[in-house]
Amino acid sequence: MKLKTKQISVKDFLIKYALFILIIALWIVYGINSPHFFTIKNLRSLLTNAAPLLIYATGMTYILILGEIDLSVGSVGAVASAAWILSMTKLDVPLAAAFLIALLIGAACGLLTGFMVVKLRINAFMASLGMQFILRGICYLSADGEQILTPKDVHTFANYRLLTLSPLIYISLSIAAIMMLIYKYTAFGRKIQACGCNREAAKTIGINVDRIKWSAFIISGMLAGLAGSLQCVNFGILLPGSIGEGSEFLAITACVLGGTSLMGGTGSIIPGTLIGVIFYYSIENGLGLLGANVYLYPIVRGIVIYLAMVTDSLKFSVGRRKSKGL
Amino acid sequence: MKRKLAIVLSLAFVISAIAGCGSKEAPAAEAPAAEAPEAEADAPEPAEDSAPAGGKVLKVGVSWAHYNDALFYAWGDGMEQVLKDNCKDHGFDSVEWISLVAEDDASKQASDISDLVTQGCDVIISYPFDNQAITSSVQECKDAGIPIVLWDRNIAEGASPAPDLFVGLDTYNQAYEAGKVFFQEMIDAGETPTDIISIIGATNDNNALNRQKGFEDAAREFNLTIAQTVPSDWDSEKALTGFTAAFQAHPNCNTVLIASDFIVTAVQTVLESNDAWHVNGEDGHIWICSQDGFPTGCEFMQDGYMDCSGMYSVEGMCSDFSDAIFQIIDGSYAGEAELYSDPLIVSAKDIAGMSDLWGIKYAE
Amino acid sequence: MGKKEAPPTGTAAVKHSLTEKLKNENAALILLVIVSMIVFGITVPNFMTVGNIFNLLVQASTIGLPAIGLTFILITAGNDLSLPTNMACSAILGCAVMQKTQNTFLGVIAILAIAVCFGVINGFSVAKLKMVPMIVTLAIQTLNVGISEFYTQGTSVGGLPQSFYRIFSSSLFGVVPVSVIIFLLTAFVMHQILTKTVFGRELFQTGINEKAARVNGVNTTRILFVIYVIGGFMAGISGVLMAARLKAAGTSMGPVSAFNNIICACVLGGASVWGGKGTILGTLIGSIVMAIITNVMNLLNVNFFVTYVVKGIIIILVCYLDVLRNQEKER
Repeated sequence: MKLKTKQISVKDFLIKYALFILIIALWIVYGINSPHFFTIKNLRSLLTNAAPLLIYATGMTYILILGEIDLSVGSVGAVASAAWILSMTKLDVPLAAAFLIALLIGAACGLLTGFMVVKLRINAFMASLGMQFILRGICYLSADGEQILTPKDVHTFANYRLLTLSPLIYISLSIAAIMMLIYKYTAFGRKIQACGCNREAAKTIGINVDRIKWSAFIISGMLAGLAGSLQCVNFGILLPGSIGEGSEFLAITACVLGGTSLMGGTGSIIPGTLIGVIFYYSIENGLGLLGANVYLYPIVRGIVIYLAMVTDSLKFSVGRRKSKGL
Repeated sequence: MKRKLAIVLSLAFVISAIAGCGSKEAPAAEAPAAEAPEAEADAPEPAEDSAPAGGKVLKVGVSWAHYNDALFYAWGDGMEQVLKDNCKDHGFDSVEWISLVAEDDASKQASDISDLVTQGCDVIISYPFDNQAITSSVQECKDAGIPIVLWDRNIAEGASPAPDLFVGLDTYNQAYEAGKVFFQEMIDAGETPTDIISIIGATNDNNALNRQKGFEDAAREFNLTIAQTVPSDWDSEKALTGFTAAFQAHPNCNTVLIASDFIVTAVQTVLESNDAWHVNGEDGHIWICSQDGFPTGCEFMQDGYMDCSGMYSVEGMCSDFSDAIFQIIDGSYAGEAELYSDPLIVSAKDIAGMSDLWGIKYAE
Repeated sequence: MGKKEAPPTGTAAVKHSLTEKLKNENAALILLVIVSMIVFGITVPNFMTVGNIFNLLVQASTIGLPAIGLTFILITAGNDLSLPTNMACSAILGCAVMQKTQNTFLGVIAILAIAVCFGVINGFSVAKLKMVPMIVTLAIQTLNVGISEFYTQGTSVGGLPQSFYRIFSSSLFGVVPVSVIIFLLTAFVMHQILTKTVFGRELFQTGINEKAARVNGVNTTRILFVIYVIGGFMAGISGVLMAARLKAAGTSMGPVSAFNNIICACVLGGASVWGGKGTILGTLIGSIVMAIITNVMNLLNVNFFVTYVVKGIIIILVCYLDVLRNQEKER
């Protein structure tokens, strides 16, 4: 692996792959201290728990590549999951159709946020922050203090096993894969990249920037609706205050850990965002396997994310030095 | 410029519309008074002059740290109901119920209570977020001459001034008693609790820590120790990831202790995916002891998935409260300043005949 | 700061048009505040009382102090999610010092120093290491929560010396709370720094176009570093005031969600999350607006969940207003 390619020195190699090295180091520490860490079973449960965040982050990647931001995804997930659960329990809608309703509600929320960003020209950060408040309130009001358990169908769905894997894993990974393929191999994907790199240039070559942006918000909303519903599957109960709470920042963190820039233009879903999500979840998962002191969780989480960002920034600073010819 | 002005005015209009629709229940007695009632310390019952002539209104202000699950709805509705039922006997014609929520922010809670003082409430009830920081609000109420009642979370030990009344549950005792009953039942059923996993609430919540201590002490009585503690921050997501890992690290675990019922569904998800979610009596049943008695918890106990719970007696707390509160308002109260209601330790085999648990009533 | 010579005319022109523009924006907001005050004064009982107005200002100061720090940061298109948690964390550690030594002065210095330390970490990461502000500060936020909970183990730090409360939570002449005075004074000083100094001018240059600023000889690394330190310092001041007001320091002082109110105050005041814009006066008024919204809804006994919706609608409306105003100017 080392030194065999061209003139890449060990130092450059270390810096370039610093984030991966950090992840592997963390995993080795966990692996040595807990026999349960490197098991198929653990990977399986880790991916199941991470499924909602992966879907949130997939949609977020599109938004970030465009150079925008969407802070409403968590609340969109909450509203959509409320619609999902309520349509099943109150209206006896079958499971699959209820998923469709959740997707539609999510898409409608995305449509609205997109409208505000694209047509009204409100700053995306603030528009989506406003939507976050509004949707969270609507979610509380629609649940109206009731404790609604997920119906039996949902449990059968969640515990259905195809090749020993949970459907949540299939859904999240296939969505990530599809979104990656769209991004890489379709005209729409290339247009997104073009808009994110340089808006003006994209406009001059005839790309309808507004339409691209709007569709990205709709996609992100739709995926958030799905992610919220899957979170609800994991919780087993409709909790209007917990579903999607803080998910927007986690999704952004996962994207950035995976190499997506907040300035737009660059990013990848697989491997980038997928690695970010798995990295984040493995921090918590490892602590749980080690049986760490409960007060240590947030400290370790904070330090590891900080270190990850330090290593990531080293990469950029090396690149900058190179481009300056130093 | 015209357009700008129009926008500003339309915005102001929206705000006033909000004000208008919100104020329909508030009496229109405004007339900005030059000096605030609460600015002068020891003012005699500032609410007196704001009462409309129609009848004597008991103005009750409540400041919740959060208001996000069934227990709070049950508490709020229960208190409001007992006050409405009993106010006629104590010279009030109706109750005005003002409920504010601080979103887990101690400084917003202090502001909320200031707002309640401003409104001239006859009595203020608070479910505090921070048992130390609430002292400043208690002081503010005392200065304004408004009685203050703390609900469920008492003031920190040794802090002063004390509130006029505390109504709640000894959360240490709740977990300790429930844990004892739970472990005894397990042993009676011929099981040995092994690799006990405990899911605790927020690590900055006294009640959560008390319950953990209660569980620990109960376990000690049976020469047991808790194998692993999982933090949840009262958040199902964190409980889910933490418990998933803990359950893998302790594959022989047959006992789970939970700080509150509403997390139990996350436990259900993990156990189901490990094929360990079975009713009591079936092979591979995991014994679960929880707290609070949420509708979810009651349902799971009726079905036999959960085995024991230390429940709140919401009705008991509300009636304790209404007995004392009217005397506190007219200054004749001579009873205990701290009313601890006993927890209801309910085990799954007894729950069938019980219909007056708050969780069961609430579900209906 | 070595160079005191007259700024190049180009910068002066930029600065002039800038202050013009900002003045304009504030005028609309001030009008809005006055109109809504009058409307609420008439329709909302107990709103226009001296007690309530100062109550309102105290509430505004808890949002406003960190918001002033955030304004500096937003001008460079940065972000600091760790402000509220930094406030709680530094107040906890500093109050622990105060409790142990029973020395008010030492405690206050400790609070400010610890808060500045976190600001230094943020600033160093963003300015020197070129890390993404939002994610760095998110990591620091988590770290803050961790340290606070680890230290307090669920309790709050109380038992502070009486002189601490006497100084910081008393009222001047029995009416004007000290925290409000400190808030307004800080705002005034920060306003002067932002508008009257070389630093302020360079800050705007950095925010409008970092590359161009660097070419013009502005030490942008230093600017970026300093603003996060200022942010930390502001968090420290508000930590001192809040600990005095609550008579204790605990993790509950600075919940993560408090950040939403802080950034809303800044943006209502005309700052932009894309950088280059922002005034202290605007932020001051923005934080008062945020306090008014909460206060009025409390006084009107609006359903808590409806307050979420109303808050969201107001944020979007005000931002739209901002958009319309900019369009008009472009025309």
